[in-house]
Amino acid sequence: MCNDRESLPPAPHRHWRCACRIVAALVVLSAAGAGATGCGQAVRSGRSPVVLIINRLEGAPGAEPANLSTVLHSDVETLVERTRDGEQSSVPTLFADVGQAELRLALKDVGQSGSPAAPTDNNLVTITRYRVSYRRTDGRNAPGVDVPYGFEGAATVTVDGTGPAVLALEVVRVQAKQEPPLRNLRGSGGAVAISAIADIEFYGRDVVGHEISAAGALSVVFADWTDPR
Amino acid sequence: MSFDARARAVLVAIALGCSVACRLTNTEAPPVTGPSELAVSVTLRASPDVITRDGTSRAVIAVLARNTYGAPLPDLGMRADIMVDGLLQDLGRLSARNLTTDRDGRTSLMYTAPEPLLGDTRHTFITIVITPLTGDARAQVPRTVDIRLVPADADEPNL
Repeated sequence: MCNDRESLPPAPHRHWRCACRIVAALVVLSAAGAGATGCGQAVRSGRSPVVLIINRLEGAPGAEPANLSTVLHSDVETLVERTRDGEQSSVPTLFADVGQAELRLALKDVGQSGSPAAPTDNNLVTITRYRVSYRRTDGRNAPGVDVPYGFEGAATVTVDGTGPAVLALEVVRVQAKQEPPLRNLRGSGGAVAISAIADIEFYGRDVVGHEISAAGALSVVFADWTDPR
Repeated sequence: MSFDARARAVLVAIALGCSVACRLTNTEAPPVTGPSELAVSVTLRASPDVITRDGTSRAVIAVLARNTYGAPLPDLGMRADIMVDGLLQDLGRLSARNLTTDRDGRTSLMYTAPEPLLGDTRHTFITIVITPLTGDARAQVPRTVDIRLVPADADEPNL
């Protein structure tokens, strides 16, 4: 582009013009690079001025819903001791496993130092549904064969800027324990135990109507665990 | 130094500065890996899983063994047994007791229903126990699949 010195005599101002073009091209390229890398995923995702952050995502066996943990030990069948006519017996029972998510908001535009921006009522986000899907680390992810079927759940909670909101959800449905591969695990049958990852996505919208989502994951170990006393 | 050389030196310096001054890379997590079941995964399938107790009905037990990465596990030795109500007993027949997986990690055996019992209307669950051999019986973990035997002349199921 600049090696035209055979056809035209060299002149200092021509070299300078050529150099300016190259410098301008470099400046444009570096600006484009900065634009591509300067704004992170949080700022570029969605059209809402806020992002939804999952502070914590926990699950608990349905028989012990207070025992929340970041690893869910899902019991595919629980023997519940009942006393009837003075006689004690163990009744096989199915429980859906529960979960709890702590959500909060953050503004994409954090404001100036000394006067940080704060969310307004327009930034309130109402979560209305969530989706749970399962996958395995060995790559076998056929629903109904290797992992339970994914499902959609509904829950309504509004997250404001004053503090985190807690959303209760279902992580393993009782239907999943009635069909393969979880039903086969009863009595240490089938695969004996299955370790899976539950991917949980939350969907909602802010007051203005911008769609917002957030995703988290939870380890789930399905087995016929020892039953609580 | 001529003007031309100076201009080139400036350009090279700018290019170097742009390329190394603020280079950020994403921190990427490695892809997920590792077993999701036991390290030796054995999948059993009975077809059909309900047969008539008439002394001739058969069910094929298909066995598929996979390794830690979900790939077929060849040359895996296994032992097959019949269990009823938690006790090992030969109610019916197996076509083989000792199995070895092929290069696709597969093998199979046949279960033949026992002779009918007069007046018996119960449905019986037969558990086929497949135990991969590990070189130390203490480390053996049996895998099971159930077949339901229905009486030959049962009009009404009586579970």
